[in-house]
Amino acid sequence: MTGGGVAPVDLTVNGEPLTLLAGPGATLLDLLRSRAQLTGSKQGCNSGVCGVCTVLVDGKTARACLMLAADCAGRTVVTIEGLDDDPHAAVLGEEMAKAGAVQCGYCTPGIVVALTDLFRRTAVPPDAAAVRHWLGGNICRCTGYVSIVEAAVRAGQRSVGADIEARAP
Amino acid sequence: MQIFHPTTVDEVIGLLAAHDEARCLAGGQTLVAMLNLGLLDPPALISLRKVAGLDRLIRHADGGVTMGATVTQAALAAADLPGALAVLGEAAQQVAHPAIRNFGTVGGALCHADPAADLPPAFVAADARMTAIGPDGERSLSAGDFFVDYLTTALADGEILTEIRLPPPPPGSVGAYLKFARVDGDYATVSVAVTMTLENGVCRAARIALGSCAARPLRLDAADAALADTGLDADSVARAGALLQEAADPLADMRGTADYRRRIVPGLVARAIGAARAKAEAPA
Amino acid sequence: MTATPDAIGKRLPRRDAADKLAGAARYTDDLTRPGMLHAAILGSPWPSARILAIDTAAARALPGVKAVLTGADLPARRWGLFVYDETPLAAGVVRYVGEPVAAVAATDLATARAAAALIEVDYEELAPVLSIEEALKDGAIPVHPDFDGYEKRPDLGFERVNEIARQEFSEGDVESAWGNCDVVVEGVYEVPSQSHVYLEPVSAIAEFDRAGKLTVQSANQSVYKVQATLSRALDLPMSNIRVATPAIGGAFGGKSGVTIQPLVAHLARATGRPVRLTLTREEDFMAMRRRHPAIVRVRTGAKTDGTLVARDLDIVYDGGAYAEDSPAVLGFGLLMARGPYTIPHCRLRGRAVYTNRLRAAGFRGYGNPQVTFATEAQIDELAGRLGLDPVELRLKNAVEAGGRWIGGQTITSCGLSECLTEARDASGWTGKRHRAGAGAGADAETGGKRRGIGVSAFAHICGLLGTSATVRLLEDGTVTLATGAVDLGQGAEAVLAQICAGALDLDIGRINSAPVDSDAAPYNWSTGGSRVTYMAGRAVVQAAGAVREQIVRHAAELFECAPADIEIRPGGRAGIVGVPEKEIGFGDISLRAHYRSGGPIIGSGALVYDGEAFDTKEALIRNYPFERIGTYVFGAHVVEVEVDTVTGKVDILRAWMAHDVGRAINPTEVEGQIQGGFVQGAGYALLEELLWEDGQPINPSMMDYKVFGALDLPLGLHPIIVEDPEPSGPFGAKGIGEPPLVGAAPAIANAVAHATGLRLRTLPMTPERVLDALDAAAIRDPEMPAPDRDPEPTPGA
Repeated sequence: MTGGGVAPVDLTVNGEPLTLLAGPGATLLDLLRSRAQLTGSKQGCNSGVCGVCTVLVDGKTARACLMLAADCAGRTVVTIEGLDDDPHAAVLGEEMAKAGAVQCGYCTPGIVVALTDLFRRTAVPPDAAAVRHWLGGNICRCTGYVSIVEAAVRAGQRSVGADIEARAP
Repeated sequence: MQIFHPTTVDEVIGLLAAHDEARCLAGGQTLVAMLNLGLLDPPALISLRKVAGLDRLIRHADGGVTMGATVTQAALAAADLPGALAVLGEAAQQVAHPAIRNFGTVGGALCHADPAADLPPAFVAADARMTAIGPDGERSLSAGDFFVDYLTTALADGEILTEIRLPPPPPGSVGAYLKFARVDGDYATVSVAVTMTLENGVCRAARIALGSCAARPLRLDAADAALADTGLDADSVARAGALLQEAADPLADMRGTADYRRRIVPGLVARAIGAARAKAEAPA
Repeated sequence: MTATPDAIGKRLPRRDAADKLAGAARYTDDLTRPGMLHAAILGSPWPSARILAIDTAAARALPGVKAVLTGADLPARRWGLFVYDETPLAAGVVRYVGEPVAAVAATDLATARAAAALIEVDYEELAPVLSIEEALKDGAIPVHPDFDGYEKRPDLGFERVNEIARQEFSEGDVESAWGNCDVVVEGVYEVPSQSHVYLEPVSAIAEFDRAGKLTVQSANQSVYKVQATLSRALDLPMSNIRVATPAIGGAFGGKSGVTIQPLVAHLARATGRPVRLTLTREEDFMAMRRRHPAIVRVRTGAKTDGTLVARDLDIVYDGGAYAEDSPAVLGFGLLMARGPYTIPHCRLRGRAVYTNRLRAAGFRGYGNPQVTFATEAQIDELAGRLGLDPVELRLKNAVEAGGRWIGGQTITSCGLSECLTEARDASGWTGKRHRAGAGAGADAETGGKRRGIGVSAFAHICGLLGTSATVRLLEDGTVTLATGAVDLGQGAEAVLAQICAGALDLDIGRINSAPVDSDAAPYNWSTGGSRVTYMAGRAVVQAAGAVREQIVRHAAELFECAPADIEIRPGGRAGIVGVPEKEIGFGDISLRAHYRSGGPIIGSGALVYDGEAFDTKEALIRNYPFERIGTYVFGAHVVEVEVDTVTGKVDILRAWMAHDVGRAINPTEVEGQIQGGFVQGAGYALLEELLWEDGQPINPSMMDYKVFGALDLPLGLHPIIVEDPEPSGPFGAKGIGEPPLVGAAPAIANAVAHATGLRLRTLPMTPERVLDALDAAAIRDPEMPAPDRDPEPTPGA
């Protein structure tokens, strides 16, 4: 894309107010990776299909590659780096590691972000069907999904509705 | 490329008039993908994010519904609309994946007018009315008239879709959306949206619209008539399916040849009718 | 090592998981270097064309552009694996759509891409070769007119235009054997181009230091292959090239060759600055690698009792525009073409050819999925004709340990029969095989769905070429292990650490794995060919053994006893046999070695695959580039499917995947390979195919080329681990990376045949292909008896 200039965008990323420079046509993913040095959100297809760039935008699972940076002013973004202390993500990480649900790891941050969002918005632990439905848009080319889904179900049983205070986004 | 953040519909209309080739940006879930792939390079984008009121879904006392153009697909999927309008929620639930539906809007999907997308046939089957506002004021058109051609709507230059009105679903009405795709979340190879009104097992009226079978959602008066005042017996259902099959003129792409899509129409129509009918028979 | 060490066979979590879960693992595109430039490429719009002129003036004039390179700017130094036919940028002609023609380095990515778009290329379109038939017809246009002049290692004999390789494995006398067969089946099978679709697009960063040393960080499967090719491409000694490996986001064979590293190195050389190039998904689809499509003609004959007698197989692989792995893929496919059965008379021949399509290369299975789809279909076709149970027919002919493979190699371990019986028993085969129905009545009851169950049996190898490892005892008695085995995500690092821990009887937490960097890591040919656990594992055991010897020597000196009286005890201690209180920790021994006597303890291991060579007296082997390649591994899959007769869509309901891995070092990782490989194979069977129209790719995006997601597959994908220890393997282990993919498509196809009575011989079995077959059968004869139907169960069977 040509034309137009670089413009500042004010947004909140992982709890911190930031002003980041966005080129014309830049996406939130470009902004996070190149300007904020938050490389946990990956680039896989840049067309919203693969899910490796999954982040939370205004508290909802989103594709960072499909959010135009210039349209993110005032938004609140949480990336995988922002879930470092999240109790749901911690339990999920334990279960995924134990289940062998992490192979190449390229899809992993997106899956952790998406499932953390699922765990936050449900009062009862999701069953396998709910997890598969939620992860329908997160492609994994390594595991065949079984270990991921089973780990997520176990994590949900431990984490959702348990006496864990889900941190506010 | 400039981006604007108007807060009223009037401002949007003004910006559209002032910037040739400007595009409205709603959820961006298709538009931004196209920008990323270099398929579009508009000089200006007009974000609808801050336009007040466009994201409201209003349920009227008579059962009718009005939804603003920027109601998200996730909101529609969760709305649990009654009777025939269930076709809308079922279609919305099958658009791509949860993250896309969280930001993708109803109006955005309708205005993109992709015949392989899920919402257009559902809104045609639900007999929606579309409200368009432009420099010359407001007008209303039926969903059937709204979709004109592949990626083309009846919106004039400078006009935008602001809201969609759904008539109150008649008592005994049901709706279902059946999508057949290569994998979950893909565009439809063929999809069937159906609404029907049933009275003691007799179909009083039906509207069927197919996705991916023509340059726009495919609906046929004759097919709908073939079902009216029948008990949805196998012959009537097959006749409706055959009429739609004959009228279908699908594109060929990596999802299937035109011949294949035509061949699966009758079977999918029968399944969609069966799914809708099962709802009428299910205890409320 | 008498008792099993604690670390072996344990489901230990991987060390790399924590960083990956936190988004802290760094892949190539996550890395930056001070002053780094960003690169973009311009691809060819034509499948075959001559480059008449390239105008780069507008690109060069764009502010921020630091270099623009075209093929004419680069030295004419071709490289390759067997045929040296590749250049970093098209040289004079383009041979496939997407082939890089020019490259730009600029201060930011947007500028680099904008500049690439400003490059104007004047082409003269040439008639392309777009299919195997066109490549081999009389008077075919040569894809490489200069082929005769290319260097080849080895020269494998090329008889026709566009032949990359022609090979044969034959035994017995196939021509006269047909007379001894009671039943013969014959068919032509076609398999598609599958794209690797690793989620991390190919990426590389290159930079030169002031002394002229090149450092390249990239997504790769072998730092040493990359180093060797860079050496040739840039005319640099290997000692001036460092190749390092950040985290790899999947590879599956697609990163096993050299990809964009030479191009990025040329850009770094031209600009004097670090340069990073990461392909877009679309560029990756169009310009990287794919699985070889193939046409397989095969005929197999058997006696009435099911004894297999003869097979004649002829395969042609479409290698695309450049040879890369094609000669080895062809040869390996042929080596697998007899299948895991004793068939006395076999003629297995094949060719790989050039076409004007994307180059084909290694992809999980390496020529084997193509032949095994065809040959395992034929076993079921024979079973149908003979009225035999497909599992029984396989068991009757299955190879066993001590038997010989085609080519004469002795099979040293073999759990094939156990795989077949375990998968059969776990799946409820017998009941389901006889229950599934193909009649119209069944359709009405099931809403048009028909169920079927199918089986496949298959083999693969682990082995190949050279590898090495070092084990160093640190001052505190912990260990640093170094190998050259790049971890693609499959857990190579974790498994090798586990083998090291086992070999030293140490806790896994005491093993540190060094990064794979050509400056420091011992040589490893490649992470590929299902070889790392087996080959690098053996080197690790050797290296750890050398460390044990030194520990024993130190302990013997300290305790003033004979080394034979010293034992290594679990937890890092050496002591006197039979005297529990006489012992010393590895830490104390290491301190002694570092500061007082003998020097720091370091052990090394190195080997080249050393199994039996092919027996060229018994077998006719033509033009095969290796004299020995590996140790055989085995598996069997049983898959249950449901076929929708309205749409033709095939859904997998459940699968049981039994694999003889010799010994599972880490069962969780083995199961991950089995499930993941099966799912990629299911994509190959049902869904995935790169498509071209007039040489133009029509689905080079993840929007259009689909892979299975979480909702498309069942959770009932049941791995079954069979352990028949391999005498030469580390703790008995063999490889597992590729076989799970190999067995998927044939078992699914056999299940579809069982469900519908129809034999689909073309992959992928898309809904449209299945419906075509259903419709054709109905049109031909609705009462047609199902060819693959089993006999009625006999009482007590």
